[in-house]
Amino acid sequence: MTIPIRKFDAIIVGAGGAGLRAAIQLSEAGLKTAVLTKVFPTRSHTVAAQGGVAASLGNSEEDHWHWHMYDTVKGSDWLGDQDAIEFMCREANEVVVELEHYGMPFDRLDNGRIYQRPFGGHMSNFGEKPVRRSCAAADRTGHAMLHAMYQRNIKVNTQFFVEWMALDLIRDAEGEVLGVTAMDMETGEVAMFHAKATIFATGGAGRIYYSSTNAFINTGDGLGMAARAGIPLEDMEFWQFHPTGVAGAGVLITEGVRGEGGILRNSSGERFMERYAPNAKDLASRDVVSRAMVTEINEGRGCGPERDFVLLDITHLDPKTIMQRLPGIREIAIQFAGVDCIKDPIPVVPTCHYQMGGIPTNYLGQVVMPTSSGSQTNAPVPGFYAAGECACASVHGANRLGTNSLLDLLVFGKSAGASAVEYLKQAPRAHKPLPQEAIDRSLARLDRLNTQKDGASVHESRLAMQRAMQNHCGVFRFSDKLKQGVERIVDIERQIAATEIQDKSQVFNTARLEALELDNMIEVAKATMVSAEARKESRGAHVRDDAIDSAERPNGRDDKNWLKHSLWFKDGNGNRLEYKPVVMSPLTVETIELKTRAY
Amino acid sequence: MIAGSEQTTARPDASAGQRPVPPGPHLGRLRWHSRRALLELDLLFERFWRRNEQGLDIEQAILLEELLELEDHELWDMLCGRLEIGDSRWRGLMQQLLEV
Repeated sequence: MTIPIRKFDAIIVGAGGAGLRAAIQLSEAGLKTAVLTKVFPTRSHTVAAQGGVAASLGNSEEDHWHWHMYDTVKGSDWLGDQDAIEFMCREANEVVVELEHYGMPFDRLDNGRIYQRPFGGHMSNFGEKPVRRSCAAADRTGHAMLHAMYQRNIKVNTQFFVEWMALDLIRDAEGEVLGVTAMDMETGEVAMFHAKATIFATGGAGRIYYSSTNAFINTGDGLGMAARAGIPLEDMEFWQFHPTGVAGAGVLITEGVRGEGGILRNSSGERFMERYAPNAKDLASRDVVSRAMVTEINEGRGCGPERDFVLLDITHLDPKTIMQRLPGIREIAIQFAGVDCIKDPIPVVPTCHYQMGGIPTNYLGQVVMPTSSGSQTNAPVPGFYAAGECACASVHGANRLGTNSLLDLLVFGKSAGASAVEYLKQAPRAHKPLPQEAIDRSLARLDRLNTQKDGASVHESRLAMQRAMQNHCGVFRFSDKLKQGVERIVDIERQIAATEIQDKSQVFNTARLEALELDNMIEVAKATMVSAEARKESRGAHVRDDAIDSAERPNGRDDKNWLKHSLWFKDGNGNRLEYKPVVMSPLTVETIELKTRAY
Repeated sequence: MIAGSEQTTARPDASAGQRPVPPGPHLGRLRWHSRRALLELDLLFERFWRRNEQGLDIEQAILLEELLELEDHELWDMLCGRLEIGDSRWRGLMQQLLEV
């Protein structure tokens, strides 16, 4: 079947922070650049980022990129690649200043410089004391960033295809990436976006979990497309959980609530954090609080008819304090928990927040994978780049530091764009011929959905997947549950391969869009479950009950056997895992040697 | 659509008042535009559409379209009462969005 072909020098899929930053780089170089996005750019999930962007500007006190690098390596529990981390921390100041020049309204000091505030895990002098490193625009940093970069893109003539959903990555027989097939939601038209360079910036996939702080658009579309095209997914077992998401809804209750005196209680009303963290109690670090909550639930001390949540209690606080210092919390509790938190405690559970793994890239934003001969573990895939939460550079390793996510998307959005510009300078003038069979496979997937009879419900299949992820591969992981989880997710995968939609219309058919998103989510879910079951240690956000804390394996971390990246491959209807070494050599400085991660 | 191009999906006639919006492209577009950057809004709109599965009348659709044009933080702040509601015509629809 033939479909319209639209030709560009470069295409970018996704118009959040990473996609917009990459597009600036390409359009400023005078290249014909298209950005495909399923929602309007300023409605991307980057909008939700509040905390700020890390950069060692040293505007308020002494700071250095090397200290930032140390914090990031330590935060990653030594799974981050030290070359990429050095690159990110060194580039941070430049990308922040560039953003300022694009019109980003950063908060200011009296002397006019960018105001910086402290943030968890960011320290001066190699872990000595907290440092002011986060640059913010009030609590709307992501929102302001997107607007500044969107305006810049308009100025440099980036062409946006809004409400176009990318369907499949197209590679030829040599493995070179030649663009994507995509569907215009407004007409149902499918077209081939033929490009010499393709950049994925599609964001995370937090919606694979039942309880997630992520907006509904975070369905891992780029990861699904990459996996179907034979690209591996790296370190997918590592997901950051926030301890206090509203049970059943996922909406995040900020740490500030516990900072103001909020107390976590179990079914008997006990302040259980006193047993797990006698000093810090409810203000212990995110992972400690999350694991304590899950232990309470697993040991039968959870609340509610299913005993599947704990309570965050602020009823002892003065209502005036709640209204003044915790704006919006009462509204969130009423709307999403059905309680007035002035009178009743809020049901909460640890909630999926951020994906550390993704499409493997190097620090230049080039997608990399092992060669079939095994001679190289990080060979660039010609014409393919990725940045932001969908990519794994890997700077976050097993655990991300706050404010490093916005930095990641700026630095690697820019470097992916810059690498694509260099690649295009040397590329032949003509586009390579398109492989018709790859386009046909993509169209066949759409056709299957349009003609499926007696198939599974999209809604029910998605719910089954989300519950399986939450129950079998949550914040605290158990060997037997992970094994059962792998079997369960394979069953659900079969179900999803036969989803059926009742509405076959072409124009703004949201049922079809949700079915296509689910095809992507299941790849991410399977990669996560299989990678998590296989990794027999605890590291960062991946915590197993059978990884025993010992002198040789502090906190259950097993560097001898597991200081390596997971690579999950979709392999026909099955899958396989490979591993590759962590890059321990930075670009210019000494290796930050392995240590026990303690704060 | 290509950013900056004319909207081609037919919109209802504002004078048509209480008549229902026929099922099809216009409702589909409104449903898709209810996908937001903030989870809080996603959840409110999901509940709204569940309660209005049978569709919307034309006046509701026009007001909803206006709300969906707002920035996410602006809309959430209006819903939480932290920001004055930009147009008093939106008040009823906002109450519907907040009905627990």
